[in-house]
Amino acid sequence: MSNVGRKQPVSIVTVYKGNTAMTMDQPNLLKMLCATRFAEGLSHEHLACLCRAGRLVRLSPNQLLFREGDTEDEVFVISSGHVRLAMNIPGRGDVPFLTAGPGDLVGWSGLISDGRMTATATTVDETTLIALSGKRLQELCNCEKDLGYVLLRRVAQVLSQRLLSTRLQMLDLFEKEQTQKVS
Amino acid sequence: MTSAITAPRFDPWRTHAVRVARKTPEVPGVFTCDLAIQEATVASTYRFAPGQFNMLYIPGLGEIAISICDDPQSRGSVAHTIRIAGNVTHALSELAVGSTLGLRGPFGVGWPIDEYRGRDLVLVAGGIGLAPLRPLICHLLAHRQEFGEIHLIMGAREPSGLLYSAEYSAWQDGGLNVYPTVDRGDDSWPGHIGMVTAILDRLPLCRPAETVMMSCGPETMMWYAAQIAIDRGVRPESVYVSLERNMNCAIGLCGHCQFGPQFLCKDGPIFSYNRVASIMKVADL
Repeated sequence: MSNVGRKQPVSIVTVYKGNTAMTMDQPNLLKMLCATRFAEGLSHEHLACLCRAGRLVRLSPNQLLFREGDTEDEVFVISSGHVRLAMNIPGRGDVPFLTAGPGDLVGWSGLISDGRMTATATTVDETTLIALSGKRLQELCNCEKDLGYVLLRRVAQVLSQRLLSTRLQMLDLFEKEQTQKVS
Repeated sequence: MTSAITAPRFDPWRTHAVRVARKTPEVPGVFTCDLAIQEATVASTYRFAPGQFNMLYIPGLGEIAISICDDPQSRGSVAHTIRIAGNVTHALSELAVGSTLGLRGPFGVGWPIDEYRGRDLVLVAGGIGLAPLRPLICHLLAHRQEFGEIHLIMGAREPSGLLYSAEYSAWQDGGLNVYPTVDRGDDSWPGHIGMVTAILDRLPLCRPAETVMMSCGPETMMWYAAQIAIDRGVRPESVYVSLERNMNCAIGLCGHCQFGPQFLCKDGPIFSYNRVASIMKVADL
């Protein structure tokens, strides 16, 4: 699948390009963001602020969202569909390790570090994402400390869940089962 | 706790002669063995509830608890999916079709499905944990109209480890939302990669307080699945786990499978999470 992604150009259809002013499209973006799990615990006002840095992205199956090693500004909240994350291992090619789905956050390096992607992301099916500019979000967070605290706390919760999930994968629970279970 | 199907109890000490009617390889190291009960009167009255288990006996080697994976409505033989893990299961894997062995059962408490008609269900299985859930799946397919949404999430280490994968499309067609996932995928696997908990975390639950979760698999998986379900609004008393320990007598006398104040063989193997949560994380229990 990753090979398919490499051969195809990035095709991002921008439905809405965010700016600091409210536009007619922004309520829709806000509605979509509110409907995601990512929005849990964030106030309507804070989510409206996030949408000022956002735009909607719709992708077809097997399209590249971002590539490992590239520097990207945007962080994505999946509204619908799925994105497969893979890392390139010399001699093994792109090794997929996670399927992210609705409500998941991908490409978070754009928000909390230098924006260098640590995985290649390719869509699995028709996927709609809310893309948030990392640079713009950082500016917003610097101006509005309350938003910054709430947003980074939410991001930390998401990453904590991702870490737990990764840990369970690494523990290889089904291998252990072979020696413990009788049936 | 009651079960959908009332299983008449045999003399628990009596071992019935059964014949290997069919052996089916499932996934690497796992096979399904259909056992035909030889004695006609026993065969005609043998019934089990989804979630129960039998004790399979190979003379000279020993006896082992194996979950029943058959359709509760099937008659004539009873299927067990077995992972080759020790001497007895290895010997079972080498038995030829037509061989005879012993069977006691059925034992244990089944999934309390009768209590949850009209509710939404989430079944979470990991690895061979799908086997004890298969009779429940058969029951749900046969009584699909009696329940709300039914989600089935099953995980395996890799795609080749997904049990009963040939049946998934039939289950989907029968009205179940089926979500297979693997820990380790590759380019040949188009499906989901990640733990069952990741799918559970984002599963659309329309009425969590009216949702029941039943899970079977590695205890760590069940523990975190229960946490997520409860965090999402499923009531703790509506979360069920199927536990497993070394069962020996199967009727609560020998104490091998004691788990706190309970014996898994007679009080379980299926428990409300409420009942066992406080001791699931006790080391070496």
